[in-house]
Amino acid sequence: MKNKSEQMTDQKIHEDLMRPLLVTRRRFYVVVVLLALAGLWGLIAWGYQIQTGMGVAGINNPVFWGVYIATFVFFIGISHAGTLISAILRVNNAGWRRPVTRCAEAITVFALMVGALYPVIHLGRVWKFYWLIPYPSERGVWPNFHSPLMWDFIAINTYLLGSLTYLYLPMIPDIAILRDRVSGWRRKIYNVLALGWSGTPVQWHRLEKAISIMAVAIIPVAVSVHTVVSWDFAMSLNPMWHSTIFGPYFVVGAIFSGIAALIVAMVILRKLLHLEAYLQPIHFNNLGLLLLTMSLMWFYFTFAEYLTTWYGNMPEEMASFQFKVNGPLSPFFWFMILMNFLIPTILLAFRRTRTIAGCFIASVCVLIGMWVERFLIVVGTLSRPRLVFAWGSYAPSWVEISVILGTVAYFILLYVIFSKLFPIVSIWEFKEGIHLAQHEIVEEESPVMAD
Amino acid sequence: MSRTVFASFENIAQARRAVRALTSAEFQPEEVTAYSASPILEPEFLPPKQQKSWISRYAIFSGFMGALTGYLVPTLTASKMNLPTGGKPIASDWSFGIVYFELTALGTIAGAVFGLLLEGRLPRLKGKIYPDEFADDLTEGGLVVSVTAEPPERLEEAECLLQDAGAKKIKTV
Repeated sequence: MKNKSEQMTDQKIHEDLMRPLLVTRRRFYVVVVLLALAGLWGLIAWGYQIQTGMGVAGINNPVFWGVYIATFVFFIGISHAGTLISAILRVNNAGWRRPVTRCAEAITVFALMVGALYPVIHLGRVWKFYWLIPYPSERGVWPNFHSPLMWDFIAINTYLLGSLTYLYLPMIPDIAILRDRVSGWRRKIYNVLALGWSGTPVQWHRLEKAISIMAVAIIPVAVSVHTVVSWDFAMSLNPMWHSTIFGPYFVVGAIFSGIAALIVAMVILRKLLHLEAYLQPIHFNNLGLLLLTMSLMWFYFTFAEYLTTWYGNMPEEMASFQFKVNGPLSPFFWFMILMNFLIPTILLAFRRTRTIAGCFIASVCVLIGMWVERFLIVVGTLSRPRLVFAWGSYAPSWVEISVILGTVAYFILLYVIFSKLFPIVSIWEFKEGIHLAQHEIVEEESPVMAD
Repeated sequence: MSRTVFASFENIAQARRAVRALTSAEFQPEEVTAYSASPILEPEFLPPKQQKSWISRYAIFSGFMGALTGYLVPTLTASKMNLPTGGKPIASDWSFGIVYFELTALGTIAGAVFGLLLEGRLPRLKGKIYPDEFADDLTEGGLVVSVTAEPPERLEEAECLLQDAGAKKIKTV
């Protein structure tokens, strides 16, 4: 039963969560311009690469996959922040998920959009990308569905479409509120996006039903996406790639970096949009515990992977192992252990340091550490192929670094614009949580009053 | 010509009372509609007839169609295009299994969305849903109840019932 104080709460929720959308400060424009400039620089670098050829990138034989593919894997990994985590929490009916889900789901969509650019960037002749799309043509070219790259194309697109829908559907009621509150061009856009939502009981019932089905359907898709990405590596016979645990290893790493990305986004949003009342320490505590769990699991998988290689002592495998653990890449390897395991574990294991700041520091470390991990997987193996005469080395060029910085800026820009156009915390889900909690309290106190 | 009476209520209890009063006065359940900015799934607002949903069935059927597409497209085209497979079978469930799976999931998602749009009667882009002045009541946590008065002589009766239930604002359009 609603009462006066609850109405005030509803009003406050609307005001708090819609204020960032309706009030624009100069800081917002500064951030957008800076990100757009960084994105433009990346675009120029990419244009230079297209015009000049792939020679301007550092990749060459034997390291034909470099930071582009490492960053592709990284972005697909952090895309697990949203839909997977949100769907798991929704299926488990975890009440604390409510303010978190949309921040997370938006990360998924934008990370996938940016991550999916990398195979195109890496392709060199980008204008031939459409050859991967299966459609009958006079060229007689047909993609080979046996290829893991084709699985990638299908899995990533399925996940992107699913995640976009999974982000959009729960947003419809909030867009409808915005439609009724704004005017001008924004109203026209929200009017179309709200699809004429009116909030009748039938619509609410069907929406919850559709979201539940989608949550169940999207979890295996999310798991499959990163498994398929790992199979890009594991289906080859290269040392330290041809491994049966690569699928789950990649999924664990993806969820790990995904949670870290989510925490970083939440801390920044909380600070900039003044969402202290919505993104509370309990959310960071719970996510911090999840991050700790994933850190331990990541270490377990890494240890299992490296131990098996070391114990097997096969010369081809050991060349790659030594290159990473004791050789030229060893600083990166031990840096990765520090960032992905030691720092997060120390910070997150104790309640005293599992604060918002502690979670933020641990998450930033994890994001850096996980990018390094992807780099080590790609470069560590390709620098030490089976034939010794083909051994080589790799260093990224300024073009590659510029493109990566540009895409990171583009990712952040998309997120910033999204949080300017749509409530970053789901208004109706948050309110529903409060109503349910109040209903439970009333029921406990007086079953008669609960009506 | 039928007319619709809109009334806003401060809380769910008042809105529930209004819906009960209207249905007791023999207004048909399909003539009475509630609107809210947060989920309302109580039985008064959602009679058993309206609780029946085919969304799961749409999702299952669509998932099945996705699986079938995922099976037929790679299998038939691979046989036709004679792609090199390194000695492996030209159509293999092992590697095509991933395609079956992804398209099954995509089909399931598409079916759920289709069901939502169909049963939720979306999209509806033209025409006003409720008068503009009720929008603020909704965002402030209130509810709006509408009743289509047919024949129009029942208009006054509907307004009285809504007023008695505690309506904050009433408008007939």
